[in-house]
Amino acid sequence: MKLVVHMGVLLGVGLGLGLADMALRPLAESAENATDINDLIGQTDPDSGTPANTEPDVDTPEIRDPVDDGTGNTEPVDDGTSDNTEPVVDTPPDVPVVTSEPEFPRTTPGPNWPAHHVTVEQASQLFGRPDVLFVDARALDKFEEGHVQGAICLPLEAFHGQQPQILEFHTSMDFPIVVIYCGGGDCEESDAVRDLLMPDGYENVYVMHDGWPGWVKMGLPGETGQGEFEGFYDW
Amino acid sequence: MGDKDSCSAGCGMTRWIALPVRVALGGVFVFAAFNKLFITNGPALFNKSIHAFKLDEYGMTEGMMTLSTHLVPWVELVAGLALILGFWLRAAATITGAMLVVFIAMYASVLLRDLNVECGCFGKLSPFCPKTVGSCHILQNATMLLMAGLLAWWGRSAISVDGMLAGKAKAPADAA
Repeated sequence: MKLVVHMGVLLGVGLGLGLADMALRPLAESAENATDINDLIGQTDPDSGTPANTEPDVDTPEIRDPVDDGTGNTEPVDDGTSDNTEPVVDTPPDVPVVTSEPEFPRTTPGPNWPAHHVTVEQASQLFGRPDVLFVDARALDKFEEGHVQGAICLPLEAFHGQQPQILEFHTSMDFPIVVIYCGGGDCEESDAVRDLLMPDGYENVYVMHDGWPGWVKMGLPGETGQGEFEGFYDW
Repeated sequence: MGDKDSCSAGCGMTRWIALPVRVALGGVFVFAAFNKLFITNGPALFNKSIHAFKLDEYGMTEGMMTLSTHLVPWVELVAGLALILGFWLRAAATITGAMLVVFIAMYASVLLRDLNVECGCFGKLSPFCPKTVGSCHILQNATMLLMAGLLAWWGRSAISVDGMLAGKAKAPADAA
């Protein structure tokens, strides 16, 4: 009988601590513990929580937030689309495109974006920093057609079958901040790769929501081919 | 001779054999728990590992997996500490043994279903076996199960909190 009581007490303590842990440190929080990207950028607008410098470098119309205008705006826009997976540089201004988001690329985070999704504008403010790695989650052929300057190619398929090589590769790279992107819009590769990277010690892993098309649209630095990792990508 | 009534299965030599056995087993459990709880993204990694076992095929819900993610490491930690300290040794050894039986069953089910699962037993680390679950993991846990069984059977160990408590309880009786 004493054994049962002792077991009950030990189990009770363990389970109690576990329940307290679950309440105080929910799983979603521990998996979503990236620092607010605005803290990393260090240029926040205290009123809006968005970067102070939200004026894009390119000629884009005024931003209209679909929540603010409440119209679920689907009227034609005069530049790229959120779900366009091809780089868009010189889209004719009068091409009517139905999109779920009013502007592309957005310069404020969308209302339904996960916390780790950031705008091209925010990501661009991390570009060039030595502690930031840009990761292209698209397939290698898309990467070779054009990618963020200095980015590495880490497509989802690289984790399947080539996992030891890839894991060894990315764990050997000591970047405290990682920005992942894919084809923009509804592409899911970035989040999938992020999920695979997160358990391996990366905390500040962000997804550039509007992806490569957004980067091109804003006229930010890109390059073709395999960049500085020429010859590595052999999957 | 005063211990005779409190030593059910063995005293003397077995008490000293039990000492390294309980410290080793408790150490492994504390190490495993620590790596699941306190390393960066440890809980997320353990949760991912639980999902990889595809326990939903046996009716385990998402909520139960989340619950397990939080409860299992803490029970491991408490039981492991109790083993290291020699506190309620038989109870702690029984709990660890029960957990090991469950773990072995999970590994066996992975092998039977031919799944490719990375064991999150020690967080990111895999000190005794390859990362991918295989027969090595079953052997590893079977060895620990044997250790837990012996400790539960012996019930006593040298240099333990249990021994100190028993000594204190005996002292007033001897004085009387």
